[in-house]
Amino acid sequence: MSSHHHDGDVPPLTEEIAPGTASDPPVGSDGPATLTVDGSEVSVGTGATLLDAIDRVDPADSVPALCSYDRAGIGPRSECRTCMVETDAHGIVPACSFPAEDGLAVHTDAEAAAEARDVNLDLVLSNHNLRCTACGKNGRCELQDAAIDQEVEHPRYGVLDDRDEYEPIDDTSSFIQIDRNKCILCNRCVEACNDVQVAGVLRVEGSGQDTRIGFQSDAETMEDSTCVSCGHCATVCPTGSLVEKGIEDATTIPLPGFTQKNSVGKTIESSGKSKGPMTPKKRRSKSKSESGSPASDGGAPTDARDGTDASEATDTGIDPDADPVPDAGADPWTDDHDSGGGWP
Amino acid sequence: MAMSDHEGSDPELDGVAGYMQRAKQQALQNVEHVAEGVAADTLPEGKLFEIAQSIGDKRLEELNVADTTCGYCAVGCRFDLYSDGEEILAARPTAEEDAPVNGISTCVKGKFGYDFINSDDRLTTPVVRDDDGQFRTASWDEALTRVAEGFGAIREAHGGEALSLIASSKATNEENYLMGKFARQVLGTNSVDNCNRLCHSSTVAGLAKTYGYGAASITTDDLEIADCILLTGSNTTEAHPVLATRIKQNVRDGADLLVFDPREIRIAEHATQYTRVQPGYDAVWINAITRHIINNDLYDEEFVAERTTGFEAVREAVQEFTPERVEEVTGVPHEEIVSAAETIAAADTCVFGWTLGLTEHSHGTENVMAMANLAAITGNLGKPGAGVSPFRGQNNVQGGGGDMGPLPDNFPGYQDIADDEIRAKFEDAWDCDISPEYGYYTTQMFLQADQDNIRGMYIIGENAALSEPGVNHAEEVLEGLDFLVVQDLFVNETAEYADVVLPACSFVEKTGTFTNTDRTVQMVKQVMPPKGDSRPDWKILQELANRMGRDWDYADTAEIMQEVNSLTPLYGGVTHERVEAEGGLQWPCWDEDHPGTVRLYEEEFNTADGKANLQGVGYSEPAEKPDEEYPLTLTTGRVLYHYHTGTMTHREEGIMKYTPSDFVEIHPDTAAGIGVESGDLVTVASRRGEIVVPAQVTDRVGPDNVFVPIHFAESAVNRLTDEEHLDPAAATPEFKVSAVKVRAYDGDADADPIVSPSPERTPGDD
Repeated sequence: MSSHHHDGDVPPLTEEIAPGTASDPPVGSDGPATLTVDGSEVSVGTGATLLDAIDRVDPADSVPALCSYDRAGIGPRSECRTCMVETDAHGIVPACSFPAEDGLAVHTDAEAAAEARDVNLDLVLSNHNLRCTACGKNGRCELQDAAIDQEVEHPRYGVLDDRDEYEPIDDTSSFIQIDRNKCILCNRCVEACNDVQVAGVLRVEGSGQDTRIGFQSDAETMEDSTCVSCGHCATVCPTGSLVEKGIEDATTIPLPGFTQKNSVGKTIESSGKSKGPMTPKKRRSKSKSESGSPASDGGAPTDARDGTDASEATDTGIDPDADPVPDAGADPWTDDHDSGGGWP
Repeated sequence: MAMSDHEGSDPELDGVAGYMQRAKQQALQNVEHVAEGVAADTLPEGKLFEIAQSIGDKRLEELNVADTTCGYCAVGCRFDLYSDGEEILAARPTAEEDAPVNGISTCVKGKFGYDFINSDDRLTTPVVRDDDGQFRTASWDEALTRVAEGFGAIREAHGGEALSLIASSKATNEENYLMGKFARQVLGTNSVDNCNRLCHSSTVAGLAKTYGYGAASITTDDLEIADCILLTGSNTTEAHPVLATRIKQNVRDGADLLVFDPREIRIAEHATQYTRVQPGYDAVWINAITRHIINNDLYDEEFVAERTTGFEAVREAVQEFTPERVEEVTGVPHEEIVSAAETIAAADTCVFGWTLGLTEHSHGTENVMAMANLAAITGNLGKPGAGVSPFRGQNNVQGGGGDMGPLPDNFPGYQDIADDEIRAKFEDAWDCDISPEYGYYTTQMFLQADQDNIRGMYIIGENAALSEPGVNHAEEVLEGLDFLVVQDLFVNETAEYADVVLPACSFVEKTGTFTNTDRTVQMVKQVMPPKGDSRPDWKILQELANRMGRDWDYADTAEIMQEVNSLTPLYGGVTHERVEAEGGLQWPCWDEDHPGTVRLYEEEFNTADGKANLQGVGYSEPAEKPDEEYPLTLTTGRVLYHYHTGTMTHREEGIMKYTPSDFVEIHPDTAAGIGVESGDLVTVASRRGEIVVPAQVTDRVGPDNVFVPIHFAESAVNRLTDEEHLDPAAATPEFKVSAVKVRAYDGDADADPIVSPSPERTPGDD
């Protein structure tokens, strides 16, 4: 592949965008397969997963598969494990990312598989608030549907509200609202952003219970990120974590104050400053070391922003003996994968 | 960023008021939190889901959801729109089979840009100009009577030829068919044209001459499977974001992307080869690539021999484009011509994509023909992953602007009005006499109005006062017309000059079809009722036709489409029933049993001998070259967050946050030379006028070029462009090249500097 960029031999931007699962090997079957699901025979084509086969029949038990999204090549990611099923040959496997093998017998109602799904669904719920009546996805939520289908009564690990650790709602974008308290870390939005839109804005960052959806540019808010407002993330979000502004209160309980934005009590508002007017160059806008230089990429009226500076936040609390924070200006993309170390 | 511990966007108050404000907000929160807590103590948590869902289900029932086709650009995205009857709440994915072009994809405009529908200044009742020159609202009856009398008087005194109609590519196919019919049958003129004159008419002319159809040969999927894509003059990520999405995916998966453009736009950042070119010399570098391929025997000999004529003429014509000359004229080093040529030749399949950077020139048709030659000699036509793809601009410019024939020279389906047999068919069907003489193109209408050859205009959904080249002249023409009727959603800049303004409705308020950039006809469905007294264009036209002596009796747009089917072979089988059932149908579709045509030219070209008729293209250059007085070249174009003259997007508050004002992109060296920095106001002047805009200093443009977007009325860039030098074949103006000079704004120029226009409206909208 030749590269004759005008301003030096830089690789195409596309090569530097962190992939979601777009570059993962395919997980489906090698060829057409005929198998049984709860005793019913199903034939599927090349590339099918067990979940595809289950979707063709009326299974004995419902299989939620919360992180699976069956369009636009998103996933599977096997994050939530709410799709576990039993197979005679391989034991309990995640249906969303297991190939449909010829002759396999799949049981959705096996006790161990059902228990695994319930436990995993409770784990998802343990990190989710229950303020459905003030949620922008109420009535259109895949988690709500799953909890009702699975007849969840008392989630065994509690719910987010028991711990009272709400993150403020990011209301800074004109179009997309982020409520991380409802995020189940399914990764669909990250893939929609990186694999479908090839925009390289969102990432999963942090680890353990601090894992969250963040921005590859190290921005703190949607408005400061390099988002192009295509809306793919809100399109694929299974819960009310990423919602289109405009419909966010269409199905909340019709009482004053019961809005998605109010549901936590803490909101990060837009700075009110304009983004433009020119469309920034993608490379420069990723680069902190250059973004302060108006001569490189316009934007002088908007470059000076007050509020939390992403780089300050990143720098605090870092152990001086640890590896230094990579210089984002030198290669803004390298810390996209496996990131989290630099995050407080 | 402002962090607040309480919800709501009210400014924080101090003292007692602040305390009470916080308490009130806290109380509201507590209702939910306490209710949740109480419920959790007494009910299983699982029950809460069901309670919430039943509320959600109840409220969802009150919403109207319909799958429809986007009304912004011509990619043809389909999605479900949610409406509560008053406004559009959201755009969400529709079924896979109903969204053949975009799947789940959208851009910011199609997903979020609907505030314009309910804008305070939306026109909801007819408006007429009183004797004292002031506008006042009027009943439909009065307004339509005024229009019928106004046009009738001119037709009687000067003949129908003194009238012209500008059709709207924002409207449906069915409505555009009626606009053409109305011009010819009711007004009695062939002077009917549309916005395609200002954009891709040179594409239509160039491709039609070479291959037979003035349209994309590919289907959108080809962008995703091509081994190589050559893009030029297309700011794809901003003007056609969803196509850019698919191109970027293909590049990620290993395809080559060659971008030749004066600006290093975002899609250029994704390219495997970006080459900066001087604007206005596209045929030169394209011919240079063709020359290298021919002279090094890299062309597809079999394809050339079997499927083309004219190869020798092309071989001869390109010889003058030697490496030295090409580099001197276009600024493109020979190595970059060679690498592009070799990449294209080595690829199994290549798509050649372009937008207005190739077409809006005084020689746009030649540029397109040079590109058509390159695609043909490399055998990249009529097979999966290969072909030519002009990305069309307006949502329905392919269908409404071209296929439906609101054109001075064509009936629907590109049937020539000079052809006696075809004219007889339409005279018979429409029960009228039609002159065999071509009417005036839009650009010519404005020039002819100066000679009093055009006295009355009917402008539908087009903002000519901003979009015509040399708008200073366009404004004079509009002012001088005997009678002007404007039909639009708003009293736009053009309507300021009107005698009668008729309120039309937007695509979410009506039913019909749009045809997208890859010839796919798709359903447009009504999601909410027309605002106020506004009406769909087809109903307005029907009322007017009947007041002017005709007897139109269409019950709905499906019935109009049946008439199209009977008169337009290309659309012979394109019925509403089939489009609905099949989720989209690509023309040509000759009859009810024809499956439609995914890709053109798989077997033969649409020419007399079935072959691609290649023609040599020689040297061309811009009509106005930079000189000592005006040393820079101005190009114009779009930005992601806005659309055309801003009538839709300037009414979207959220969008105005991203691109709140006009600007000019200036190279750092040029900026240093005149002592300006980003944000400083500068005056951009051409021989025709000047504007004052803030500078954005960036190396996206080269040192000899500047760029200004087309979207802003306050500082209309078309005060600088040239309305006189038109493409000889297609009459497209040279929007993409104007010689200009830039200086720091000294505060006493004629133009008022406008930095931050009000987000809700542009001046003159009231």
